Amino acid sequence: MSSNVLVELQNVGKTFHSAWGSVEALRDINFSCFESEFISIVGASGCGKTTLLRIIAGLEKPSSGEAFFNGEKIEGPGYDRAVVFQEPRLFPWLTVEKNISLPIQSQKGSQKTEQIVEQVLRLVEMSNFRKAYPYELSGGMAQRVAIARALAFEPKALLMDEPFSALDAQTRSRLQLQFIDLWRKTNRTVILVTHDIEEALILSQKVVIMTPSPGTIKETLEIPLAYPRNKDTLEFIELRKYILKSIL
Amino acid sequence: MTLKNHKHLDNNLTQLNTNGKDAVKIIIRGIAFPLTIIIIWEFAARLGLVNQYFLPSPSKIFDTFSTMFISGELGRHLLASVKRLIYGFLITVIFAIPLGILVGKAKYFRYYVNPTLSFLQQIPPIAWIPIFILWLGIDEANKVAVIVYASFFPVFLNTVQGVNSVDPKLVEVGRAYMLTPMKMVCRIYIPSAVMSIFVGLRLGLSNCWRALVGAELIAASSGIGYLITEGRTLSQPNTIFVAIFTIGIAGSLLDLSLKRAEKKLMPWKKDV
Repeated sequence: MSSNVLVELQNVGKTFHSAWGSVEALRDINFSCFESEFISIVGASGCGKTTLLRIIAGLEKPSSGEAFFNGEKIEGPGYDRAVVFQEPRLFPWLTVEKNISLPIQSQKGSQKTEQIVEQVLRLVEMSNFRKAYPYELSGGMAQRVAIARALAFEPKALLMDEPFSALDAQTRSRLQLQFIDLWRKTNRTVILVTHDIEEALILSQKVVIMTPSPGTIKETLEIPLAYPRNKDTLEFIELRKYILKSIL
Repeated sequence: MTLKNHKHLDNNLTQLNTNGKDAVKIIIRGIAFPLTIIIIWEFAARLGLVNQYFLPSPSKIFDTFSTMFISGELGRHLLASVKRLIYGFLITVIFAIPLGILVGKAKYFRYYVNPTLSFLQQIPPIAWIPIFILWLGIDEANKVAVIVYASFFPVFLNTVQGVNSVDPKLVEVGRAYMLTPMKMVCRIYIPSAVMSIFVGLRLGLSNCWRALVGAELIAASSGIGYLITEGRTLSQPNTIFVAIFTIGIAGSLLDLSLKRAEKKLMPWKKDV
């Protein structure tokens, strides 16, 4: 594994102002992520973990401090990052394949795009549905298409905001397993935001624990377990207990 | 999981496949009620329960219909009405949609125009006819003006709504995935406005069909509405009924054709 720092946040703070007052969402965040690393950010709802991800994505600007991606200051979204949102957010008027190809068509040309679309659809096991419209898909299928869209973008880092949280338990655990396979095949950097401790432990190499109001990073844990991970081992259970205690 | 999901899609596919059968069922269901009424009506007329002068029997109305149809009289009047409708509706589409997009995009413009629009909206198109005649003469222009007036607001307001109702979450996807401004407009703003614009078009079309008939009742020498006036002055209730049925049927066909176009244009919509 290469040891280049890909994402670096220095003393990042974020305060939202609205008509009824200001909310300090993040304070003094120092965070770094190496290339090819899989990091999860966990915390109770309202701890600013989504805001943190959105800053890395360039969808939100920090109020203080600085954020860097691949050594460059983050000024907005970029071709090197792709976001998977909590909801699939597919364009209802485009078919599955058009949803995936839309962001990449003009860069890659139609022939290359065609190849990429086919490849990512195979990866998420959705090849049979390339001509389907989003309304014809179930929640799990739509989310897989959203993941495929992010993969097709060929980013340096995948930024995922609770992508599995809206799914039923079985679909979720199946998708998690598929995703781990996918990550090991593509070896891409992944930053995953989740409130599900078990999900973080099954998927990631490092878990960043955040606490709310204002959102701060409490601790960063290395997860020394081998893949695929078993939820029933003593180590797993101990880690889960420990993180749960830290979050509360 | 996959099993369930495949089933989900399969259901949709079978729905598509059985469309033909469903269509027959839908037509039968839709026709059952009016058919019953017509049969009862026919019996009542033949048994002398109603005065034939006030309410001619369906068979008599149909006789009149066939004579008028064969002589070309009905076609001539219908064509006159449809011609006006097309002119007026085209003018509406040409002006109301671009203006709606403009107003929808300009944030504060609507605060200036909304009170005026809601005032104008309250006035039935027919109320303008005398003044339109005064301004535009007795010929075609006044009727076209009524049609434009009747259809303008639904088309315009729904366009404004459509432009404003773009899901900010989808716009954010566009930003995150570095879509060019051109692609943002063509692939996000326009498609999401199109649905709303179509609702406006359908509303506008049925509005102006009704307003047109009203206008023709008051001032015309041809058209379906004129046919009713003629029937009244000549004391021919048959003619009046032929005209009324023609209005209803033609209006339904117009709406149906727009619905069809909607389905062609927007295959991503589940329910039409």
